[in-house]
Amino acid sequence: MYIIVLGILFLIMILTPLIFKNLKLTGFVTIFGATLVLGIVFKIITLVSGGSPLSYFNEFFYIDSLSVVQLLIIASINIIVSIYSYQYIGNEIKEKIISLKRGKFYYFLFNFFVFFMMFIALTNNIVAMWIGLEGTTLTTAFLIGFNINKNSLESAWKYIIICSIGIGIGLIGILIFVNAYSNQDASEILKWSHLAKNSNPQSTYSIKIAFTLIFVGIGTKAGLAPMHTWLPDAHSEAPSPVSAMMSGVLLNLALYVILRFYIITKHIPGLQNTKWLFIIFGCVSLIISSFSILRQLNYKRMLAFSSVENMGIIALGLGVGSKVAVFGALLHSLVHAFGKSMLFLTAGNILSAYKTKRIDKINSLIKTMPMNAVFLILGMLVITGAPPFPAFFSEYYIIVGTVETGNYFITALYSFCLLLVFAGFLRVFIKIVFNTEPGVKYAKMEEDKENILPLALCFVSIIIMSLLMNGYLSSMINNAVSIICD
Amino acid sequence: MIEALLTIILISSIFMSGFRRIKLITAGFIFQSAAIGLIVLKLGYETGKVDYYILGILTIVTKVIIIPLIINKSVKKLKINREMELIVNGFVSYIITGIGIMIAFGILNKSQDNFLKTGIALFIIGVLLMVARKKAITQMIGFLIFENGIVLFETSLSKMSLVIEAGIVFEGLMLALIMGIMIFHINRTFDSINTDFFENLKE
Amino acid sequence: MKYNLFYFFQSALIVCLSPLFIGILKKMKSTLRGYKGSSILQPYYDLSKLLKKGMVISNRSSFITTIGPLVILAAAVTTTFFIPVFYTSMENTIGNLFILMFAFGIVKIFTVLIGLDSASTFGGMGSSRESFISMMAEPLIFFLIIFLYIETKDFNVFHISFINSKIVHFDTAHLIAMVTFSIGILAENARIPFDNPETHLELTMMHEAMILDLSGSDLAYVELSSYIKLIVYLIILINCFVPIGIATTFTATALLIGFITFIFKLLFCLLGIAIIETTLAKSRLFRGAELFPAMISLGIVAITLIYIL
Repeated sequence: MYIIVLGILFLIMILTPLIFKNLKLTGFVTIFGATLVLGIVFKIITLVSGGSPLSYFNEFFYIDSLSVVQLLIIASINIIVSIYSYQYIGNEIKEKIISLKRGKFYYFLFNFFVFFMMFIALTNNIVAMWIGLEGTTLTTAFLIGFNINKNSLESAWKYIIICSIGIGIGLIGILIFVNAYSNQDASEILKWSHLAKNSNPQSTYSIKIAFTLIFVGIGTKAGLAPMHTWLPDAHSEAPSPVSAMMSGVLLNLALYVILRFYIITKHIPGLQNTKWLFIIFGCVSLIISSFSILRQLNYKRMLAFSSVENMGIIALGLGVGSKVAVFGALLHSLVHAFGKSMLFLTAGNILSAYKTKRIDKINSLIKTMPMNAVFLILGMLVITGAPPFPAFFSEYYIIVGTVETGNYFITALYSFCLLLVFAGFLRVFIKIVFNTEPGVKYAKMEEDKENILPLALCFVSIIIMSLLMNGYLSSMINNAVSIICD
Repeated sequence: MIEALLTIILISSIFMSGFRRIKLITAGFIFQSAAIGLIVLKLGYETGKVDYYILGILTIVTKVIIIPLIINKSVKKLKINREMELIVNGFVSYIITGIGIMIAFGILNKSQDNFLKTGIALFIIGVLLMVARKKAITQMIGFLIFENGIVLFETSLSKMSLVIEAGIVFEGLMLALIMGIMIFHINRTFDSINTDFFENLKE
Repeated sequence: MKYNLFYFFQSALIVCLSPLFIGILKKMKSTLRGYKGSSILQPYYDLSKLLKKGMVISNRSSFITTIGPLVILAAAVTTTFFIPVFYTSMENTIGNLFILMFAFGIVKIFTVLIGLDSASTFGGMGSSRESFISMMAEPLIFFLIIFLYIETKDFNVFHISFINSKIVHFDTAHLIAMVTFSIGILAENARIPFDNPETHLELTMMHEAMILDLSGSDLAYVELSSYIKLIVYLIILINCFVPIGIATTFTATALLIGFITFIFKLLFCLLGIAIIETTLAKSRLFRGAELFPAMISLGIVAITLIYIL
C-alpha cells in the first residue's frame, strides 16, 4: 500500500512542472510532496524495525533494515534540497539568468531523479537496481549542464561518457553474475532476497569475474578512485542543490548497490578475498583525494574531492569487515549526507552572492555574510570529523576496525590522509572566513539572510542524530549491520 | 546464416575503426545493428520463444531506424562530415583492432559460444572508438557500438524476463537521444565538436 | 607425378577465352553506364591489330625490353596450367600455391623492370607506385595462403579445391577470408579503388604507366598476360573459397554441372567488379593504402578463428 502511495506522489511531483505554468506552485508541490514522502519513510522505519523485512508485489519491492537507512538519507536530503531549490530557482529567474521554461525543466528532472533513487533503494530485483542507476545518469546529465556555458557542457559530456561506460561494464558483470546461477529456478534468480539466502552458483570463477566487473563499473558511479575523474568537474559545475543531492545521496546509493552484491558473494566459500577490492580502492581514493585537496583553487572542487575521500572511507570500512567498522561505515554515510549537503548549500549561497568560485577572491566572510560563515565553519568541523559531531565516532570506529583485524599499515595510511584533509580544509576555510586585506572595507551583504532555513535544518538534523546515537539510531544501524555481517 | 551475419558484424567493426567519414561510420553501424537484429530474430525462429522476436524487432527499430536518423540530423546541423586527425591514426587503429580481436578470441578459447566472443570483440571496438577519437559524435557512436556488444553478449547467456531486456534497450535509446542533444548544445557553445577544446577544467 | 590430359585441356581453354571474359566485363560496365559499348569480341580484334603493327623501341633500353614481354606472357600462360577450372581430383599433380604466387611475382618484377627500363619519368613513377601497393598486397595474399593451409592441410590448389567442395556449411573464418581475398584481387590486378584501368592521364596511372612505352606485339603480349592474370585470380577465388558444384568425378553430368556453375560464378564475380568500377572512384595513393591494414587485420582474425575452432 505504501508503494502505491509513493508512486502516486512521485507521479504528481513529476507531472506538475509540465502541466502548470506557475513556478511557485510547482515549488510548493515539490516541498509538500517531499514532506509526505518523509512521513511515509518514517512509518516504514517503524514497521521494519519490528524485525522482519517488508516485501510487496511478489517480492519486487523489498525493504529491510539496510534499505531503511538509505531511504532515510534520500527522503531527508530531498526535503532540505527542495526547500533550497525553491529559493534558488526563484532567485535565478528573478535575475533573468534562466527562463521560466528552464525552471520548470529543472523541477521535472529533479523529481525524476529522486524517483529513480527511491526506486533503487526499494527494489529487490538486481537488474532493476541497474536500470535505476542508469535512470539517474540520464536525469542528472542535463541537470549538470543546466547553466549552458562552456565549463558545464564540458563536465556534463565527461560525466555522460565516463558514467555510461562504467554502468555498461557493470551491466556485463551483472549478466555474468546472473548467468552463474542458471542452475536455479528462473523466476527467482533475479531476486536479491532469494540469492542472499541460498548461494549455490554453478561456478565460483564466473562469480569472481562478475563481482570484479560490477565493482569497477558501478564504482565509477560511486566516485572511487581511479575512476573518479568525472567527479570534481561534475560536482563543481552543477547548480548547488544538484551538487548537494548527487554528492550526498547518489554516490552513497551506488555503494549500496555494490554492497548488495557483496552480501551475496560473501556467503560463497572461497571468495573471502573480495574484501581486498574494497580496501585497496578505498585506500587509493583516500590518497588521491587528500593530496588533491591541498592543491585546489576552487572551493566547490575541493568539496567534490572531499566527497571522493569520504566514499573511500566508507569503502574502507565496509572492506575491513568487522562489526564495528561496518557500523562506522553506515554511520559515516548518514553523517556525510547531511554534512556535505550543508557545505554545498552554503557554497551555493556564497556563489550566488560573490559570483565567483575562486578561493583567492573571497575574503573576510565573517564580516560580509556572518550567518553563512558560521554554517561554513560548522560544516567543516562536521565533515572533517571533529567531536562532538557523529563523524568523529564513525571515523574512530573504522580505525578501531582496522586495528582489530590487524591491518596496521592501513590504519597508518588512513590516519595520515585524514590529517591531510583536515589541514587542507582548515587552511582554505580559515582564509575565506577570517582573512582581511588591509585597506578594504567589508560591508554586510544583503544576500546573507536568504536561504538560511535549509542550512539550519541540516544542522538541526545532525544535532538530533548525535543525541539519538545511543538509542534509536544505533539500534537501526545495528540491524543493518547484522544483515551485512552475519 | 548466423555465421554469415557474424561475419558481417566482424568485418563492419574492423572497417569502422579506421574510417574518417561520419557517413561511412554510420553506414557500418547500420549494417552491424541490422545483423544483430536478424541474429536475434533467427534465434527466436529456432527456439520459438516470443521474447526473442520482440527483442529483435525492438533492436532493429531503435538502432537501424531511429538512431541513424538522430545522427544524420546532428551531422546536417553541424556541417562536419569527416574527422581529419585521429588520436590513433588509421593504420595503427586497424592493427590494434585486429590484435585485440585475436587476443579476445584466444583467451576465450574454451567456450564454444560464438556470440560471447563476438560480443567481446564489439566491446573492444566500441571502447577504441571512444578513446581514440576527438570528435564528440564519433565518441557517441563508439558508445552505441558498446551497447550493441552488450545486446549480443546477453543473447548467449541465460534468459531474463522480457521487461528487463526491453528496459535495457530503451535506456540505450534514451542515452543516445541525450547525447545527441548534448552534442547540439556543445556545438552551439563551442562552435565545434572537437573535444580538443575541452581544456578549461584542469587539475 | 601425373598430369591429367583433361587439366591441360581446361587450362588451354582459359588461355583462349580470357579476352572473351574481359570483353564481357567491358560490356557489363558500359551497360551499367547506359551506353551501348563495344562488342564482346573486341579484345580479340585489338590483340590481332596490335600483333600486325610494327614496334618502336627506344635505343636507350636494354635487353629487358627485348625479352621482357615474352617472359611475362610465358609466366602468365604457365600459371593457367596450375589451377583447376571445372574438374579437380586428389591425384598427385603440380599446382602448389606458392609456385603460383611466385610465377605471378615473375610477371610483376618484369613489368616493373620494363617500366624503369624505358627511361621516361612516367615509367619510373608507375613502377614505384606499383611496388608500394604490392609491398602490402603480397603479405595479404600469403596470409590467405596460410589460412587455406590451416583449413585443409594441403598446399596444392587441386587438393584444396577438392577438399573444400565437400563443405556444406561455411563458417565465419571462411567468409572473412573470402572477402579479404576479393579485395586482394582488386589490389593485385590494378582495379578500382587502387588504380583506374581506363585512365589516360599519366599522372594517375599505376599499371598502365609501366607499359606506356611498349607498342606492337610487345604490347599485345603484355595485355594478354594482364587479362590472363585477372581471370586466374578470379578462378582461384572461385575454386578455393566457393567450390560448390565443381566436378570431382570424371562423369559427363558432373562435368556439365561443373562447367555451368563455373561460368555462372565467374560471370557473377565479373558483375561484382563491374559494379565496383562503376560506383566507386579511385582513391588517393595513401588513402587507398590505408585499406591494407584493415585487410591484414581481417586476415589475422580469419587465421585466429580457423586456428582456434
